[in-house]
Amino acid sequence: MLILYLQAPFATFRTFTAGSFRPTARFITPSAAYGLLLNIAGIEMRYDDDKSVMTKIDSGLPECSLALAALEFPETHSLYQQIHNYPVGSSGKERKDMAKGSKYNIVPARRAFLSDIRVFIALKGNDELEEKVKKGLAGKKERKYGLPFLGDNNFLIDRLEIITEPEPAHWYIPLKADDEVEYNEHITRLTITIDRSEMSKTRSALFVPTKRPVKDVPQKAWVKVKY
Amino acid sequence: MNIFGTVLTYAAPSANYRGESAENRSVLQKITMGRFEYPVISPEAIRNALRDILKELGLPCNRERLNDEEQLAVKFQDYPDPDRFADDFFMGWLIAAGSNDRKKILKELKERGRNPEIFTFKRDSLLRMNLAVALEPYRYDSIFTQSPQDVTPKEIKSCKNAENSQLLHREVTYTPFQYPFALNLNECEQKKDWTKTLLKAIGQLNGVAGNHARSYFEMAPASIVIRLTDLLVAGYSTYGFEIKDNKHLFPEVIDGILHDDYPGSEFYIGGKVVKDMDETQINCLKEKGATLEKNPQKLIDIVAEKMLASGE
Repeated sequence: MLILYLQAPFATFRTFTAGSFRPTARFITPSAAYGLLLNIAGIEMRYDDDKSVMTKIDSGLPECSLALAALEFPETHSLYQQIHNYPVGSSGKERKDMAKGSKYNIVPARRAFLSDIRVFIALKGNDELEEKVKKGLAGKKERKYGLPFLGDNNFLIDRLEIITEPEPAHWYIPLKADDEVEYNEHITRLTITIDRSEMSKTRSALFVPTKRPVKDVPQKAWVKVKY
Repeated sequence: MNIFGTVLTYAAPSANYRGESAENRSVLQKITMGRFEYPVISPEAIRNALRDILKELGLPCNRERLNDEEQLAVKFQDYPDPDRFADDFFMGWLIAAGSNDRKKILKELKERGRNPEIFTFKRDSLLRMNLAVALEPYRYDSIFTQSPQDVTPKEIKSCKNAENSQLLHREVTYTPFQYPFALNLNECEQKKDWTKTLLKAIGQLNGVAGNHARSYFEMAPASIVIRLTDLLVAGYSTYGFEIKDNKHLFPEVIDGILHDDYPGSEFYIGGKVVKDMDETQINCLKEKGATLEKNPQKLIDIVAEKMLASGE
């Protein structure tokens, strides 16, 4: 098992949306944590099939189990920005040609993001991936992935390091249909694996963080990530 | 080798970066941290200004702003080409094209003598940045100004922005901002001179987020901390600048170097943060291998030389 401490001033974990409000999940999602680990390990997960508008995900990616914990719960913010987009409808079509394929329309949008990310990412079930992550963190791995970021390439990471003695934290437990849960304001839906071309194939679950910080990773907190 | 930097600007009144206006009130963008709201400037606004500066410093850029359109607008010279345009090389692009559009674009490229084989529809930004966050919370300051009534006769000028004098109300703040940036230098290998110019542009950053006719605010560094490292992350809080008794401080890194938590040789510290140190501290940091320079632009030049000399 490998536990990483992740610290970042800002992050965003977008759900699939378009339009003038761009929401974020309220905590790092297993799908995003998995993407980050593969980035560090230097494993390319993006796949261009030469046909699709969206970035597809490659096959044959390493399987593993992940557990996530908050040392502190992040705050949610939103900012208004003038963003470039491909409009739905005919707005700005007169600029389409001069934009040479890039987004040709500019509109106000409200983008949500998180601040003060202090997270544990626990990984198990794949020794080879653990080894690659360790090497990647030490800068000893050939990578073609740029610097890691959290959901938006402007949102850089301050610290990402291996922890041997994790302090108590709120571990996120996926809820099953019949689970009885005490009210917890941090209950949230998080994506586990995503499929950008067929939304129905995206896997997600409701997660609830432990009410009190706990030192050991609860058995129930582990989720399998398999593409 | 990667470069991580944090820039701290000088303090000045600013009302540059605005969200959607609330009627005649131009609001500053803010985020709540702890118990206070702090003004912010978006990385997109900073990157837009960097494109302009790269152009001014003589690098070829693909995208240009059109300032006389009905809405905000940009124009590109060509489809993205990182070998030809510095802004494409550093900032990346996304062309969301389905299979029919892709075929059409690749055909166009071929007709123009470009190699469709090496063209990509997406590329990550090599330059990473983050929000510029004020060091001082917003204190609900605003300035009222009034525009005069335009009484030009209709036969001379039939169109007016408004019939009457307008009361204008803008939020304003007096604060420095800090923002981090990062680059993977291996990815910049093919364009070392462009990378050097990009760092120079960060050292002379200006014209971010508009409204400089009334709110001239420079985003150039008053102080700067840079780390050159093989690590994939900075390893410290990239918003680590503090100001106490008008002194610029970066305690996590400075104390960290002095206590051997960080390898001093990876750090380059420049500007007011150095001017504010006493001789003893400067000497201790130099003994630990850190590079110190009172002029932030000179420090950036030193980093650029070091970067190029190391074969990165």
